[in-house]
Amino acid sequence: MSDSPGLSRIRADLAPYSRTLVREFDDAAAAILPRISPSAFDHWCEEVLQIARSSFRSWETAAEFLRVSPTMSERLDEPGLLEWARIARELTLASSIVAAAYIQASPRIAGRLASADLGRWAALGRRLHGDSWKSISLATRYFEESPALLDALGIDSLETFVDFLAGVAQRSYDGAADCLENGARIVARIPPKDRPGMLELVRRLAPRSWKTAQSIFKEGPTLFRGIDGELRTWLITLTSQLADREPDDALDFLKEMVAALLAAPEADRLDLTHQAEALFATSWRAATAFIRSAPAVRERAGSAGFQAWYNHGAELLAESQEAGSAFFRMQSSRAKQVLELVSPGVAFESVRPLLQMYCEALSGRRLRVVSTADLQERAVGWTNVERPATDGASVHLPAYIEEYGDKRQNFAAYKVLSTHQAGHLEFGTFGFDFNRPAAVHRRNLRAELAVPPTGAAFERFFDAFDNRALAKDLFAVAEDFRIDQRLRSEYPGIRRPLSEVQAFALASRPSRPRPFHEQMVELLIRLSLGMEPTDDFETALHRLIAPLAQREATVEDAAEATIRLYRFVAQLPNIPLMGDTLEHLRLDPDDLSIQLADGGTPDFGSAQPYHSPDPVGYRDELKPELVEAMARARESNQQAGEASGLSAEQLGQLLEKSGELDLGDLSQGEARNSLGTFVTNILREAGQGAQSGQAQTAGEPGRHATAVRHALGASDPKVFLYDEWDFRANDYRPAWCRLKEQVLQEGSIEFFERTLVSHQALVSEIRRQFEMLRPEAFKRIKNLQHGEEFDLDATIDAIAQRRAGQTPSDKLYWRKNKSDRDVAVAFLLDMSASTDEEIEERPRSTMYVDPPPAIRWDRPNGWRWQWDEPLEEPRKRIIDVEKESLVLLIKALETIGDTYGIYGFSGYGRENVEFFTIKDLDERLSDRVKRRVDKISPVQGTRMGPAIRHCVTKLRQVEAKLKLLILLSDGRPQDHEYGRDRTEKDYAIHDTRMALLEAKRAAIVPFCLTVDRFGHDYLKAMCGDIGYEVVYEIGMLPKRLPALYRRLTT
Amino acid sequence: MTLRRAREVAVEEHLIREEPFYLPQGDEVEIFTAAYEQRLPVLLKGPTGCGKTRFIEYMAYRLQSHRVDSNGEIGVPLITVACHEDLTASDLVGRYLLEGEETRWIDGPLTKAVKTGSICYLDEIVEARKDTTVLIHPLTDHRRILPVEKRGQVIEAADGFLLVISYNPGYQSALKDLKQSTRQRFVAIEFDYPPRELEAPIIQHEAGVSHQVALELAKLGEKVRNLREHGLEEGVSTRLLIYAGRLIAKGIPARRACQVGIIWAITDDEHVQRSLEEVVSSIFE
Repeated sequence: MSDSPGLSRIRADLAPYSRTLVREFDDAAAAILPRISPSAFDHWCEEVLQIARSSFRSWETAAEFLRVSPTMSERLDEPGLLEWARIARELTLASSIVAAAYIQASPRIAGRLASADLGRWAALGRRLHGDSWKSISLATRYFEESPALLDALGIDSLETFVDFLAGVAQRSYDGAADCLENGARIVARIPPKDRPGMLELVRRLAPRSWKTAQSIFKEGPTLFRGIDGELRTWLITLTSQLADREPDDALDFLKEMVAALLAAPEADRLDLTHQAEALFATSWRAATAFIRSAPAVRERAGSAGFQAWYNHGAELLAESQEAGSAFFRMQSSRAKQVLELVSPGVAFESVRPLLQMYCEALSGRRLRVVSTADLQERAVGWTNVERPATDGASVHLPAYIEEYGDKRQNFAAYKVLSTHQAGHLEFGTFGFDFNRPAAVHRRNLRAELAVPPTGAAFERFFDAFDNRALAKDLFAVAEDFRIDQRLRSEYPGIRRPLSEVQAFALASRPSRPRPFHEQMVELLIRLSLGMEPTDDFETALHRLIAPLAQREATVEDAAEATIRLYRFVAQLPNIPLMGDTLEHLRLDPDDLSIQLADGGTPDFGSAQPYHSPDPVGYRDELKPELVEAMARARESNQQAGEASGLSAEQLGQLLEKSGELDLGDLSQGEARNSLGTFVTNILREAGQGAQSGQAQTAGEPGRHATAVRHALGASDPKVFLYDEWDFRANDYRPAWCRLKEQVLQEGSIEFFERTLVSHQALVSEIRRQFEMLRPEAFKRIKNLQHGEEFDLDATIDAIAQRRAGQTPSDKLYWRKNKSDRDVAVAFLLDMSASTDEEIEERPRSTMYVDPPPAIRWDRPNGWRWQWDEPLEEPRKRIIDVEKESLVLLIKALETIGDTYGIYGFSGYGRENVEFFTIKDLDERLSDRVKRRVDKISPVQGTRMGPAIRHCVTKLRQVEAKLKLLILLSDGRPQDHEYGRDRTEKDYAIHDTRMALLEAKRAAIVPFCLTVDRFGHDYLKAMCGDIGYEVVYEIGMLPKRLPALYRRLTT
Repeated sequence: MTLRRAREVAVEEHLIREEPFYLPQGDEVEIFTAAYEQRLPVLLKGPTGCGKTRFIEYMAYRLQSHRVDSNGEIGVPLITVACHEDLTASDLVGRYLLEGEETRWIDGPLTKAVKTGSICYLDEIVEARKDTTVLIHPLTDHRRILPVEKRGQVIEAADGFLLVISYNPGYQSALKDLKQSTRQRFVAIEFDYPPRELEAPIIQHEAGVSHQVALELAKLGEKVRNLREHGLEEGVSTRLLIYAGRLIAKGIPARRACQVGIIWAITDDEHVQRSLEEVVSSIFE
């Protein structure tokens, strides 16, 4: 070690900081000196001093510097080393701690970076260093992490990353530190190709929404799982655009979009991006919704229709973001209409009401026309959702038809399907009577069958065949053929579409070799679909069903034909048919017997088990025995005599024997279970059927509601579905709310009676007022051209005028006009949780009288005077006052005899709107009603829209000159997800307003009465020109409500 | 076709000279004849357009030999009053009119019928004002008198007089029900739309269409009436089926004729219209 004067000086300068420092300087100098020029060495020495001097504890940094310098001198060339040293010095000036981290990290960096980039690397550290201690920690951390980061990113991307960190750090050092700590690990898991894009994305996001940026970064590696390269790039680009527009939504967008893309078939994804991008320019929500809906729409509408649907939505989006988004989410009625319009297929939903009426017109019965899915859901034995079916009381049609070409043809197919179904009912398939003679077949072969003497017709009939399945298939074809032929003669207009549908069905029959029985049934099916018979067998089969083509043929003829067909087919066992087997058989055209053609004995092979051929698409799944059993269950239920009823066990046996249940693929245990389910459901429905039948005769339920119910397939008879108005989309959300109607429980009658007693004075006052409304008053109408009598005054006037030479008026008569009072009113009571609030009642000084002192026998103390404490009544709640008002109103309404109903509503969310009947419109006031009033109590939310709509449905069913709907509430409409988020109020108000307008349109006068003092705020918006009133003093409600009612109805 | 000129005839002199086409559905002709001979008032019940008016015309024709008027002319005049909600008792009985300085009494249609011994047919009686029942009651029992309050008279009905009212129970409205005290003065004959086989010849005759077309129209009638509960309280009247038939006879395509002649006439409800159009398009090619 040389002892140059320079060195001594430096040693002397360093000595005061720490003794070890001098030693470390010596060690470092010894290592470095041989590697660099003397001038560079001097320069280095100078830097050491500078570092040591720059702040109070920077000598420690200098020590670190000295320790690392030898390594650095090995890895860097001379200018590099000096540059490194310079940076260290500069960093020390800013923060010795940061500088130390820099120095410590340097050896590991030196190998990873070109010396020219050292400055860039260090500068990034400085960028992160701000003026707080947290920033020091961040910058330090940066240097510590940089080797790993550099490995993952390279210096260019590291710059972007640091920019991102700096952006986050502006708002949260902790957030930045978090990203930094995990940075290398996260980045390593992002595919290299995506890294620059991702980093650029979070960089742009960070200053605007650091939390989103942080989340996206941290979730980065998993965010795109399942999405491949090109799409990722696209997604990242799109999200970056969002960074400027709606930074907070970026993560939501990404997640939603990824999920949407994943839901789409892989092949379609890239195609969709173009259109999605165009939508994205306006609304990311629309874009994601579009991707979500697109596959289904495209499948239904075809590519041209899809484009048209898209265009429509895009236009809508240009007008209104909300409307457009709702459209693409398929949450607006318009979207469904447009889709329906552009699709070649026809959705059952859109033609259901039409077909319902059509079928009812044709069959002359009250039917339910519902989708096959509904039948499957009912679980009464039908499991195939593709094929139509009828159970005798309802017709089931597939949810969608698209295989017949364009819309017109598909609709025609629906018509054919429903005409065929209705045909079964109109032409008596299920009215089969075993003993009734056939109309066309002269000889009654049924009489020759060995069958049990009693039992249901179909059951007895099929009992006669060894192979029940074969007999049933033959019967089904025969009967379907009869129905189709009958339709042809009865409905000339249906001939053409029927032929088209039949041709389609014929063309799609599978052709594969089948054993004999199956081949015969198959040929029969084809013949029934209009195939011309060519060979002997076909001619023979055709001959057997030909009688059914006659107009007079009945179901009994189909049964007769079945017997003949069965006998014909069963001549041979179910042998496999090889190519020309049939040619070896000779068919006698007279007696239809089958012999071997040439006396030879070809080996036919052994008989096969019988399997039904593929069904015919447009024809129903005919289950005669099941329908018969269901009818029997219904009947026995209606007769109510338990003895005559069909027991579950009997029914189960019946169904099992019939072989009509699709239990084929199930294990024995499962099959038993399903059978049990079917039996239970059939019996339950039978019970319901009987009940609902009674209900219908009592008070004819409105068509409207029933239709709505059926349309949406609500299985529970008391469930109704209602649309909801989305004011942003300016459209209804179809079938959005599920309303459950139930009769309120009964409580004690005491409340009712007590209220009347405690309001005695008011009760008699109200009664007096209401008695004046009684409709006996006749009004005299004057000034009429015709009438009962001359109006004396007018007549004298007229005579006078004539005398005076003027032309008199000829309106000289008056007549009495009886003003009939014909009012129906529905009161709708808010039973939301908020009505639980206690009210501040004014001290009832004038009304409250202290009770007299009472003498009580108090055992330990003997007799003594005791002030009887006034009973501490529970404080009144809003709902209590509402109830009291109701009681008084009921009393008043009974005086004048108006039709009235009282309902309450509450619920939670759109799926659970609860609607309670306290007194139905057609119900008389009974003790039960009085007891129900007691049970009115606060429940949950206030989703007013569906409740109002339901009241409208109810009011529609009554006839009255004046219909009123009075909504009594304690606050604004509010419910779970009744609006975009918790705080939004507009949505609920608009929906309620729309519901009120709907009432108005239905010629019902709506009126809102609220006890919310702040009601004016929203009532104005909600009611517009619909009447409303705020009752400021809730205690006034019992008095106010009847008065208001009186005003409204006179 | 020979052109028919308009002809002014006083109501009480209006006689039905040509036999109206009427196909009895049951024994209504015999019942009515017996009732007329016994002078029992008759109530015709049934939905609109099912043939009540045609029936009464037919009966007036059939019964013509029962009356010879002062001029020796044979025939029972039929005086029909279509009731509406402003129809009062004075509209039926008559009223004073001012004529110059004088007043002149004008007989109402009921008075004319009572005086001339005609059949007075009050169509849709429930529509009329309730005070008309005051007139009906004394005319429909053994008294057979018409009080004319304003002139202080009662008119004893001429021999041929018979009161016939019609009533459509289809409305089912409490307001438009006939009171028991009124109802129980009449022999009631119920009408309904005839079954398909009977309606077809009526349509065929009245519309001049082929048997096949008439049959299909009758079939359509049956199907539409199946929808009575769908807001089509009355289904479709025979009259409308005949109208559609007449359009068809004039060369209008059947589907179109049914659309304008039947569907659009009976309902404004778009859904019902569409459903019915499908029924029509199934029945007619």
